[in-house]
Amino acid sequence: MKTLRISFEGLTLTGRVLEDKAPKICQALWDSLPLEGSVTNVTWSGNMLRLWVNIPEPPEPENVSELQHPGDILFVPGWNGLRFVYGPAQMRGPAGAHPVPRIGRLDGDLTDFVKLAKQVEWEGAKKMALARG
Amino acid sequence: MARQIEIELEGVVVTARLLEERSPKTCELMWGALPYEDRVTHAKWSGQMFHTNTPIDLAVAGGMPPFDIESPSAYQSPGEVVYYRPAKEFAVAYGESRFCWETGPLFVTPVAMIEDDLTEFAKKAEQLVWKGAKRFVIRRKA
Repeated sequence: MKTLRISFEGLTLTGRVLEDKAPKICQALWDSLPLEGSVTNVTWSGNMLRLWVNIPEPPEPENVSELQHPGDILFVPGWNGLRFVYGPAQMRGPAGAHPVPRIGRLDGDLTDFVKLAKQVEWEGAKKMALARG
Repeated sequence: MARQIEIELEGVVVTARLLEERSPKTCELMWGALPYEDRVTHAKWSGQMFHTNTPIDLAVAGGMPPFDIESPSAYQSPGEVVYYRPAKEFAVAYGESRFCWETGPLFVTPVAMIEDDLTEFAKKAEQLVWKGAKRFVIRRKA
């Protein structure tokens, strides 16, 4: 199983990629690691962070869902980067809700992650780094 | 002549016209409550929009049922300032936006329309995403 180590402003989280459900996107992510960038809160989709990194666009969407849950790691074809869900959220835009690939999950207790994620709206962008676990 | 207000976001000031013909009761209460100062944050559900965080009570009687909101509107144009009664907050649309929450679009009362060019103001508003909360003022225009 491919696992991720995520550093977020002094917090270390573990996650895993859903390679059985989204093999091509997960491979593209895996090949791009390590990655580092800024995170901001999204502006249409609720309690979700966007990590501003660039991953080679996979040929097609995989494991697509219109429902997102806390702990989900998402890839948005056409927009790139990664999204981390920390509370009620749904991927939306000016054209409404749009299904996106769920490519990973954060593991363990998310309490501290949620607390820190909520600060982004008030304090602005923060740093995040992703590495192979 | 329509009442005018100044809206300031981190040093950028634009002039707006109160929409008294559309929302007379709420605009009257708003005018009486000015100046209003707060720290605003960028919208998380509504697109290119930001909102205030310190409640300001502009509740009017006789709003349209079933929500008891004056002049309820579910669509905003760039430059529109709206009041959301349940949260007692203002929101300002600076681009493509629609006042939403987790449940979807919500009804708001349109209270003002920015009449100046939005370019610099929108740039400042967009930076809220990256820089976090910033100072915001609404005052009567002399």
